[in-house]
Amino acid sequence: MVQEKAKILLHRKIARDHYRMRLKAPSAARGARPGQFIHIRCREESPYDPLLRRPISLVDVDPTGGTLDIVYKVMGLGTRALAQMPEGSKADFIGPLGKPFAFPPKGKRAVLIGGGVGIPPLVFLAKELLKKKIKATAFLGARTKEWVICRDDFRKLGVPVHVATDDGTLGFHGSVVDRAAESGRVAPATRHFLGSRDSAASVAGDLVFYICGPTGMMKAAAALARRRGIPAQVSLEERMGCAMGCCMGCVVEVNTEPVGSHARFQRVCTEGPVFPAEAVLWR
Amino acid sequence: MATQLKVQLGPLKLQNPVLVASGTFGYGEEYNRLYDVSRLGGIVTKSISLKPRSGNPVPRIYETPSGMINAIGLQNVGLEAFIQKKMPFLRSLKGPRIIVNIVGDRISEYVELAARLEDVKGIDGLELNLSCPNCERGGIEFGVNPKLTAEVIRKVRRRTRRAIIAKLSPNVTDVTLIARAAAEAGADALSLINTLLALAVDASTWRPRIATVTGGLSGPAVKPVALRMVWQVRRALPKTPIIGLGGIMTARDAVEFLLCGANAVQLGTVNYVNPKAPLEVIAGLKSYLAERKLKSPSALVGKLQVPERLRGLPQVVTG
Repeated sequence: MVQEKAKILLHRKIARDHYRMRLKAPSAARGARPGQFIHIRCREESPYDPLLRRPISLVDVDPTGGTLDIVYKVMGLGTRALAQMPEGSKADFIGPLGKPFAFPPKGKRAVLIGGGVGIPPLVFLAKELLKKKIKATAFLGARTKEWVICRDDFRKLGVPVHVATDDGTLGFHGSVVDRAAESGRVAPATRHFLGSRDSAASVAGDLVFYICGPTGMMKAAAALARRRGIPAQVSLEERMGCAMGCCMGCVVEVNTEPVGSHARFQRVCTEGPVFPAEAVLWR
Repeated sequence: MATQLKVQLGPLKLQNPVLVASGTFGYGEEYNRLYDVSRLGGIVTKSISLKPRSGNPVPRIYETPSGMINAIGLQNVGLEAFIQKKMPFLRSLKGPRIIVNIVGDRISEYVELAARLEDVKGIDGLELNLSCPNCERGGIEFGVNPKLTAEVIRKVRRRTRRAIIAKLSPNVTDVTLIARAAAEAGADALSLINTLLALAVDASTWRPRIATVTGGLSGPAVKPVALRMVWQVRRALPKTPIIGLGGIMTARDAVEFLLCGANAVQLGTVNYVNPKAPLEVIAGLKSYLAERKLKSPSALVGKLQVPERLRGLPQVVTG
């Protein structure tokens, strides 16, 4: 882990409100794993507004070239300031941070379920899964067509992609999780492992879910995994202070520790952002 | 003579006047992954209570213009785990003074914490959290009341030979009353200020931004309030060692605190924003002094230039 000022090699808009940034950061790139994030400073001078850094997950890492890529969505003050940083300037980041996704044993198939700006970490994950000869399928959801990001990244990796949009402007009309589970209409590929309750049991044992997206989506995907007996990992997002494990601001309540124990609230920045889906007490 | 940064803070000798504030620096090990924390003047640990605490529900933090509000609720590992798991690293640091921040719901808990820490090696001082505004049960009651403040300090004083630092709440009408009570009861130094009680609202949902409704405001937004209180206490108590804190981001901010009367400073929220800020403040302070041919940080303490009629002691406030 380092704190350094890294040159911005690339910074461009990839979809409405979404940007991709590439940082030259050889030492951070060496050890970075899928699911990890960087904590990036959006404004450095007085009046320090926004004051705090923003945690943003890694979409790709090139250890040889020494680069880190992030994709973020302009949501408020911080990301708006970040979007103004020109290529060639320097960005102050801390990273890589957090606990990465755990890889499944050989022979399992990975189902990547991403919603909106939760999609990018799954791209990095897909890349590393394929290196380990683990097959992956991506289910991507967003409110509308323009926000279904990173489809091309998955395609370049050869990962099949199934899309759902809330407004029906692209792919399946509805939630990527619920509809996939209930109707099996998302795509033929879903039907044989998500669609039918009868066939689910026989294939569920071969699957692992990796989930990242809005809370409602993650909760639904986690519930689906539990119903089908499929192991699942979720990557959570929280407002963060330090991202170093000190401020105790980004905690999530877990059911693996007794009520009242100091470890009942775990830090998304340190014990997470990846948690076993069944451990999380959803708000 | 070359500029040097050593300062004397009551009984404590510091290699430089830059400490890191309780609750923003964990137990030291976390930030040691980014830089060598043995270069700090002092480390004040996260508040320790007798028993572990799970803290408040979430959301616990919210960013505000040039600041942040937090209501963590003193989540901590408790005294035993602190001694077993956190002290070995802190003890291994040769440079910084190690200050353990303690908190309790009752006076007896502060006393017991002090007593049990007395035999633990590697601790230079205790900072009493008298002012955390987050915990329903403790904190604020002591810090807003001069009698209670004095009582806690007097009783802890009897159980420890270590330096006692009283961390004062800014959520009072006249901070000098509390400061005087703390100093007279035996505090070796005062830390001021803790966070300002605050509230942020979401106009869309009509809900507070923090689960406990109110929290403590910190960061650059509070610096002018902190400077004012340091100056007031310095005027009221010319001899009492003061550690100033509240929104320090740069060496120049630290200089402002020294000018208002602080003998040393603590850096808090800035650790989240720029982890290496303490090192930058140490280096920046040294060059600030060197450029002005000043030998030591003490050359700045209380040197704020004010009109004649505002120098010296303020009128005694009674009642």
